[in-house]
Order: sequence, then C-alpha cells, then structure tokens
Amino acid sequence: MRYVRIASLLLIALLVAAQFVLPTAEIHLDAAFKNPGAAYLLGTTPLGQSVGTLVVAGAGQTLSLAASALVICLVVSLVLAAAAYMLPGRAARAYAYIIDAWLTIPGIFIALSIGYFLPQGFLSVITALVLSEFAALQKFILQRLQNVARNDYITMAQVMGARRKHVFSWHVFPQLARESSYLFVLTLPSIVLSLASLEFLGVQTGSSQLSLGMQIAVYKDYILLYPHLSLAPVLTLMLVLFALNEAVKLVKRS
Amino acid sequence: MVMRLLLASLRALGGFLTILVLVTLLTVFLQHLRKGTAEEALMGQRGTAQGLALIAQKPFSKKLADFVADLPQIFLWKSLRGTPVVPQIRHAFANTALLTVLSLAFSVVIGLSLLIAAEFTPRVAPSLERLATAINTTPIFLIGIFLIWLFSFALHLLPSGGDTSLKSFILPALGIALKFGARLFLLLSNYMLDLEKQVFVLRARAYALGNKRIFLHKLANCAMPFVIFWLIETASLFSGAVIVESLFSIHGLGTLLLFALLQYDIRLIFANLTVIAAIVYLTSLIQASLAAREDALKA
Repeated sequence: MRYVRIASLLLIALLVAAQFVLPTAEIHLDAAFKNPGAAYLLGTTPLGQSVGTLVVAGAGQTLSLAASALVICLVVSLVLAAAAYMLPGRAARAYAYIIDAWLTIPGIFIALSIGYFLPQGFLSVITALVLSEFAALQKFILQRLQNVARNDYITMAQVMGARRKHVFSWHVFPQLARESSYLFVLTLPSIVLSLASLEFLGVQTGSSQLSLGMQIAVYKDYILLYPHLSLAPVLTLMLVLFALNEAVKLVKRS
Repeated sequence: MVMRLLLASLRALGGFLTILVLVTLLTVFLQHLRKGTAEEALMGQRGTAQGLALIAQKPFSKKLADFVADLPQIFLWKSLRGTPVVPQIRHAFANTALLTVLSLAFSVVIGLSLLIAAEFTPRVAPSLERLATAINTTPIFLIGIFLIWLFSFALHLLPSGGDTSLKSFILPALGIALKFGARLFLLLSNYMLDLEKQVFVLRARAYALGNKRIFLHKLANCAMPFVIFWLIETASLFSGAVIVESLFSIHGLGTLLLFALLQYDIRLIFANLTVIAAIVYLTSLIQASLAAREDALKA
C-alpha cells in the first residue's frame, strides 16, 4: 500500500510538471477519430487533437481550478474566523448562526446559480466553487477556533493580560493556519468532484482547453462509436481522484 | 413543557426566516448579476413585460425592496413563460421525492447486503471496503453514464431516461443508491467494529450465542446512526438528484432549477431554492433532536 501511495503522489507531481512542457493539442482534421495506436497513444478527437495531450492538460486545469478555489476559500474563511474571534460574543454567535443557515442550501445549487449567471470564465467557475464550499469550510474552522480558544495556555495568556489581538495572531492563528493546510489536502478530492459535476452540468470556463468534467460532458455522446474518446477523460478523472484520496490517507496517517 | 415547545417552535421559525432571507439575498444578487438588454436577458421572443420589469437596470437595494414586496404573492407567482410557479414546483417535487425514496430503498438494500457479506465472509471484507471506497469517490454522473451504457445500451433492460413510468426511475435511483449504499456500508461497518468492544457483545460471545444472533443485536443498535446518517445526507442526496435528473431527463427539482437558470427565471429559482432549503432545514432539525436524544440516553 505504501508504494501505491508514493506512486499516487508521483502521479500528481507528474501531472503538475507536465503542464509546463506539454505541447498544445493541435487540430489535424485529416487525423480525426483515430483509434489508440502508436502515433496517438489514446486516439484523437473529432478535430484530430491528441486525446492523451487533452486529458493531461485537462487534468492540470481541473487540479489548478480546484486548488485555486480551495486556497481562496480557506483564506477567506480564516480572515472571517479572525474577525469572528475579535467580535463580541453575541455577534460571533450570530455569524455562526448565519453560516448554519447557509449550510441548508446544498452547495451545488449555489454553485450552479452563480455559475450560470456570471459570464463564462475561470473567475466565474472559481467564484461558484468558493461560494458553494465556503459555508462547510467556515463551519469547520469556526469549530476549530472554538476548541483552540479553550486551550489552557490561551486562557492563561488572557488571564495574564495579553490582548485579544495578540493572543489571536501569536497563539490561535498559527494553529488554525496549520490545520487549514491539512484541511486543504483533505478537502481537495471533494472539490475536484464538485468541479467535475459542475462542469458536467454546464458551468464552464469558456476556454478552448477543456478540463476533465467538460471533456466528459462533450465526449459522452461518442461512447458507443468511439469509446476511447469517452473513457479517456473518465479514467483520468478517476485516477486523479484515487491519487488525491491516497494523499489524504498519507496526511491522515501523519 | 408547553413553554419549551413554544421556544423550540420559535427557534425553528427563526431558523427558517434566516434561510428565507439568505435565499432572497442570493436570488436578488443573481438578478443583479444579470445585466444587459432585456432582449438578451429574456432570450428573445419569449420575453414578457413582467420579465422586462424584473430585469430592468435598478440598484441592488431597489431590486431587493421590489422582490420583498412581491413575496406575499408567492402562491400566485408566474414564471417568465406565464405558467404558475406552484404547480411546476409541486410536479417537480413529486418526481424528486419518488427518486429520493427509491434511492433510499435501493441504498439500504445495497448497504445492508454489503454489510451482511462482510460480516459472514470476513475474507472478502477488505475487498468490499475497498470497492465501497472506490464507488464513494466516483462522481455520480460517471456512475449514471456507466449504468445507462450497461442497462440501456448493452443489455436493453431499462429505459435510459424519462419520467413517465416507475421503470424510468430505476436506473437513476440505482445511480444515487450505489454511492449512498457504499457510504452507508462504510459507516455501519465502522460502527459495528466499535460495537464489538461493547459489553453486551462480549457477554453474548461468552454465552456462545451464534454469529447470526449477535449480528442481529448489533444491527438493531445501528438503527439510530442509520437514521441520523440519512438525515445528514439529505443535502447530498439533493445534490446527487440534480445531476442524475439532468442525465436521465427527469423533470425534478434539479432539472427545474437548471431550466430556470437557463431562462434567468428569478421567481422559479427562488421558489426552487426555498423548497430545497426548507426540506434540508427540516431534516437537520429532526437530526439535531434525535442526536440530542441519543446523547441524553448515552449519558
């Protein structure tokens, strides 16, 4: 199992590294619908683009979109958690109450609504993802904040006259930031899953380069005639998710 | 007692009002995002004067005030195409409810079958757990596509879409149920492992009770976590339903929301989001009270 986990991490690293050296998938209409072979390892698309190049580039785009959304979401959650810590108790409780109410609207419905109403683009997809995942992450960080704030040494610091701002920036924030980095690895697979579902339902970047969810949505109609075309993005997405889940297991173990 | 009940009802009502405010803000924000000409917003010839007034360029606060003023008429609302909103929601809700109930039934069967197989043939338990984890991490639309390919195109057993007969709901419900059944199996098998250390199981083993009897006792103890699991998963179930409905062309709440979003039909979007949020809120209230009761019993 250890080797599987190391191989999974290597796969993610390779996918990221490939983005810097990957050639653009050029259109060759005379090479359309080629089956997998020596010339094209995973075959070609209706426009004659190499499916292999497309899925590797698509995986990179999916990972970068999900990671960017997650980083923004965590930063915003941390900033607002800091604000909640500084606020008087009643205001902080009201904020937590609003977050609980927000959680009752399923994330995918919020993401779809935002994604459809904003013009197509990377920023729209990231905004939709951030808004759909924010409430759950914020709830988790607020709960952790409560636990951390109850620690003996923090109570002691407050009793000894340390200001709230000082306690937060020197004692509470470092712990929350460290836990947020774990949270990043733990949540990334579910964000990739949400992103793929959103793209499948039509929330798209509008870019000429398709990420994995969009490739699945576009090529699913070819499943009977050209199965390689539909299966390549599907298997790549599953491989990426598997690798990310193995990374999660490594983090959990550590 | 009466006072406590009254307080709980007031708290629940307060929660629902907060959700209503959030959904209203989200809807008006969406309306505000959608700027441009009325023709563009209303998609050409389908536009009406009412829709035009809704999407006219106004400041956010004015749009919010107009929307809130319009809220008491919610049961008389019409969508941009001129059809009443309530019957559309009712029809969509009936389909989504049927899909949800069927998925629930299938997932219980799948989850319990996996659990029984793992319990009585420990040799295959690790493989079953790995399989369940793999299914759990697979996107629901991939499961749906695979089921369509297998049961509709390859085996010609079930229709690949539609909502005219109960048969059409089997594949989509199975799509959701496979994922939730796998999740249920993982949850219950972990809970069963914890129960192994409980005194009543140790005593039963000491009295040489059969594995079957002990399993039934453990299963009975899983009832509460099982119910709480389903109540917590309601939001995920709806998220799964929106994907599956669009894949299998079922006219449920998810498809209706997608349709409303494509049409920029603010009233339909609001009604849809409110119904879904209200259901999730109701289930979260039941879950919270059950969890509190369980904690009180344990204490």
